[in-house]
Amino acid sequence: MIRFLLRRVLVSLLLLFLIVTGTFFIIHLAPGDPTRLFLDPSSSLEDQARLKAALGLDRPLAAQYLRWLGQVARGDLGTSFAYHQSVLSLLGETLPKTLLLSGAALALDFGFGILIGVFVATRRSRVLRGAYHFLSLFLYSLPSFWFGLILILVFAYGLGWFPPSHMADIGMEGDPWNVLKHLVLPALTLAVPGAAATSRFMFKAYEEVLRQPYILTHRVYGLPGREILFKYALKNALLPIITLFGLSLPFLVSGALITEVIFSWPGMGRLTYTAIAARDYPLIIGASLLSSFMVLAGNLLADLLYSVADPRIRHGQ
Amino acid sequence: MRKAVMVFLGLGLLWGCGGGAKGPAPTRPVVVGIIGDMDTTNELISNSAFTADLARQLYLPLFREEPDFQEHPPSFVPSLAESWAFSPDGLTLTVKLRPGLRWSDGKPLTARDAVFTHRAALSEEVAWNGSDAKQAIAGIEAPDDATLVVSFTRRYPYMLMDLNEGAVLPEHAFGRVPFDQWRRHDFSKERVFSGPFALKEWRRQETIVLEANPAYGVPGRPALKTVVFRVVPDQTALLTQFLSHAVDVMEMIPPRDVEKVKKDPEVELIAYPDRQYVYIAWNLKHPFFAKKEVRRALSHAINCQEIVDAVWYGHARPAVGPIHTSLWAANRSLQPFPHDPARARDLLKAAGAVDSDGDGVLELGGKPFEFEVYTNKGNAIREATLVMVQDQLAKVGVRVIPKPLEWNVFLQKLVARDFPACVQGWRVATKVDLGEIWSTRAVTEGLNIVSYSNPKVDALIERARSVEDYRDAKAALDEAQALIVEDQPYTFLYENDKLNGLNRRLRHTRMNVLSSFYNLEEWALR
Repeated sequence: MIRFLLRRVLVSLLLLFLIVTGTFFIIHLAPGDPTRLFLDPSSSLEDQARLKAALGLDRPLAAQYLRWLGQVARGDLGTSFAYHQSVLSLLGETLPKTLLLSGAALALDFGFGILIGVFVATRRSRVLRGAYHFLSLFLYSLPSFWFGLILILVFAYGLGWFPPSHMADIGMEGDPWNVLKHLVLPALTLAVPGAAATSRFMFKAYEEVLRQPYILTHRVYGLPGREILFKYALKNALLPIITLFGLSLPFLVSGALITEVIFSWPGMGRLTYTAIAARDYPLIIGASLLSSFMVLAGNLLADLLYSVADPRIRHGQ
Repeated sequence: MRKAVMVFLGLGLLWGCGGGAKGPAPTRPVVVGIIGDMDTTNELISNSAFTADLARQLYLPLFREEPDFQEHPPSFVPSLAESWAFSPDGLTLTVKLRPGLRWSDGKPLTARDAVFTHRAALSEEVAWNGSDAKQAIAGIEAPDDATLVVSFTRRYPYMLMDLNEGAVLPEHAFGRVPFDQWRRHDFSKERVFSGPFALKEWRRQETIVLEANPAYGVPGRPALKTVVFRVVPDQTALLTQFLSHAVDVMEMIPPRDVEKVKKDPEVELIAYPDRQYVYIAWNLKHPFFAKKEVRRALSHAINCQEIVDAVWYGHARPAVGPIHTSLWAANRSLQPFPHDPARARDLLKAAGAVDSDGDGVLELGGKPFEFEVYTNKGNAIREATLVMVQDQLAKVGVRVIPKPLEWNVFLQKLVARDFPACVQGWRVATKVDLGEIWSTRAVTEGLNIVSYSNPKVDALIERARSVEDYRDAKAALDEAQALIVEDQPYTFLYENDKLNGLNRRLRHTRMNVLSSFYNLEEWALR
């Protein structure tokens, strides 16, 4: 198990290095010169040269890359061109806000997705199943920019139950109850389509498991139905859901961009978006580094969970 | 699961009883909705127009520019400076600061701060965007705390304006940071201000909270104790918040939504001509657009009034020429280029454009007269304008292929002069200089993106630049404008209004083309 873990960690670190190196060169190759964006269009070539020197962009790309690697080794991701602030502190400010939103959305997604999937799979009503299939497909296909606006119109401006935007009311930033109120609509925007998909996975997996011979054997031996459903069937049905969960973890940092814009949520997605538009190289690369790390850590975690849930994987079978 | 659903709905009902988001609370501070955040509190390292606007509330310049540029270059009134006078030869300016000026931390604000700011503005390490404005300033000294002596290399109409570019910064706070560190420094930590407001709190991408600066040294204390700038990055969401009165001020209301604002009795629309014009640039290096007759034909075929009515709902006017009609330097004798499709067809025929294969598209120089027109993606108004132009030019047998590009890519194409034609706009400064866009020199070192070159225009631009009196410059500029309009390197499409929304609970607001927050210190609640 430890060897397996070590091997995965080493491969993940190598992948991380390759991803970030690739991002560094790709973003520098993308059309658009940051100095052009930061200067008045009428500025002279001398002005551009001065700004390039001030931002460290006057050196060859390879030299910039080596300098950046050296900085990263010292725990410094550089200074944002656009915000004039260290990338680490900017990411440190925005990451917890994105994690809060995406974490709440993932919890709702998987919590409700699993519950609904199990509920429908254990019911035989054709009407219920038909309605479920229609509704889950409908919810899954909702575009987040549209769904978010509808939630705002109905629950914020129509019913007045929840605030339409931001993470807290002005002057109430430290009040957890206020933050929770602001969290509901953006978290639902992210969670509802996801929960619809998760429930369909769960429904299918659970149905499959219920058809397995060992379930029939349990029934024949006279085990209580509740014990069969929740102790034996659920555990096995959760295996594909664990894979799905692992694959969803990157969403914690990357999936909330549009929702953050619609709800003015001050998270990392919005920060990265503005960084890309402004060709803010240090911030783009810093955000990529963090996102890649989360993706790899998520996959590693999924592997671990999988090996815990399925002993065959743990024992390399 | 049933329990979980009930808890969730229960929370909703509980919050529903609390009143929710409807209606402003009585003590709510003034909230200004903004699409993008400020990037720094130091104007010299900023690249955002909004930051420059906001920086004026935090740091004062020597003088205050007045929005009276319709008949003459803008005039100036005292700000940090109490009075000023030129020497008899007009090359030396002596500025007296108001007595008793202090920074918000209680330290005295002196002429040495202005000298420090000038040094920073010219520093290569700081690489300030606007340093060109200081080219004619030969030297600046502070013989005492209240006196500033500025010497110029020449006399010209914009001496005060150029000196005034960039607000005065606090040497004792900003001077601690070496110039080569300025672009890496977070100046919002240096909470030392001279403006009517001080920065109380800045939550990036969320809110900027300004509070009245008790040390504000200019007569007239801010009437509002607090002003909150709330970042709402989505325009639709911002408009919804404005119309639900959660936000008091919204800049740049989309023209299609103006009627919604007018219907709400609690808000009002503030509309005034914006200092920008939108045009189609014809790249003169492209074989189709090298001939003046072809460019004039295309301009005759485009109906600017129809575009103004359909895209701007009447909140714009057909443009006339290269100087915005609100500026003193605009040639008042010029009229919008007439829409005349018959004349367009005649000119195209005379230029050799014929539809020899009968497919409805002309051929010019042996090739179908079709070309791409670029614009910046995401600008719905420009994209709609482009579609209308496509339709109008199709009626005279010219096929336009609209090509919206991501802003960075679009900008790169313009800089490289690598485009056939594009729909773009210029935001014009109150300092009029046609040379930046229309001189032959600007083909390689400026914004002459269409590579327009007319020796007569070059000579007139130089004459306008060299004279001391703006009235003499006006005559040269009038002539240059007439020549440019004659040549039609651009089809000048329209000059639009700036459409701002304001909650009626605010009074004494004087939004104008210089800034929506021009007199923020005078704003008050009813």
